[in-house]
Amino acid sequence: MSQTGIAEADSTNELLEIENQFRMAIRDAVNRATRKPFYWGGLKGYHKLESIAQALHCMPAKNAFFGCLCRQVDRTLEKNRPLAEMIDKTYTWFLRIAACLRYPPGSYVNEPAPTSQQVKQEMEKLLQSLESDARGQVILLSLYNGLRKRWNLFGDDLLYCYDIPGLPQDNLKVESLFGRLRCHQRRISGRKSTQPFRDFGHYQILFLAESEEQLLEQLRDVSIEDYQAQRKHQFRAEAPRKFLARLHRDPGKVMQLLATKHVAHFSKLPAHNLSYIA
Amino acid sequence: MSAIQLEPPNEKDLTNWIMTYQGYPVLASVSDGEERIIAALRAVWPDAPRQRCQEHFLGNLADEVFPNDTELRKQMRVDLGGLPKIDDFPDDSSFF
Repeated sequence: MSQTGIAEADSTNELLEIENQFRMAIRDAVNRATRKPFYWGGLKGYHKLESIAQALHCMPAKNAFFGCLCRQVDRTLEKNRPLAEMIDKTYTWFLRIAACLRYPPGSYVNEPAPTSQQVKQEMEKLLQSLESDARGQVILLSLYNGLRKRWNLFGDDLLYCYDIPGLPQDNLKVESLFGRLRCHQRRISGRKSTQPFRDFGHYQILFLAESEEQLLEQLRDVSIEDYQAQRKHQFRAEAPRKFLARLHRDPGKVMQLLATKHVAHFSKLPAHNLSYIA
Repeated sequence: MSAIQLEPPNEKDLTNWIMTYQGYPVLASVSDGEERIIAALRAVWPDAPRQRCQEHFLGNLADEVFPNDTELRKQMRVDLGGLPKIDDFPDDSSFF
């Protein structure tokens, strides 16, 4: 194959890979799991889908696959906008409730510590504002009712930490300690996650060595070629997970980069070689 | 440092276990909202304030809204079902 032919084949493969990543990003956006209390999967997914839509609008209009994808994503965003906006508003109030408690504590280290009385007064004021804002809005009203009920029942039990130095606001450190102890009961690897096994397969290599030197000797028995082949295999296996990790950190930037990359590769292809387009 | 794992936890066993440490000067305790834990702490150290975990509090509060958030996610999945496929991909089944 000529150099031009190889370059074109590479570009086509890249384009297919990018299209696959768009599919992966969309699939990921509608499958975001919720992590209490701050990560609301549905809302996060909606915002992610907005970033994907922005990137899709930068794609070449003549690409039928992206055209179709773009229309469907736009339709979905439009159809679900009222619900998403309501949840977004509720989430903003939820963050205000957390801010009133100065939670998470890591975000308030540089601010003067409040007293329990101060937090109590602020929460009462917040409840009043929330009540008036929630009128006629079902989802926000659920949040208000939940807060009012809990605050009346045990609001005072949330406030000791502001008056007793050293008393933590949560029991996460204690729970994570027990979590670390328990993880050794889970499986032989001691890891909670089974993700690496899904990526690479489940292998266990045992070395028997009496010294570091002996251990290194055994490791050196692996040829460089085998090592490099395995590294490539590892890189390929990890690529989807790394892509999703980047996507979760900054969906807007990642999707824009993907769109730019696609446009660059697309321009390298001659007009007759567009067979990959759906 | 001490720990106990009870399956299932009950107030009596918890109280008996904590009772061993009753002599320690406890300023305050912190726990989630589990009633059996709070009852045991109250029984052993009645005068020590019992701080309720704010993370659990906020998590429980968010539970009020999560059905709506889940509904949003499910609806988006339904609306995005049957997206166009790329011919060259081996996984040519339905998108979701």
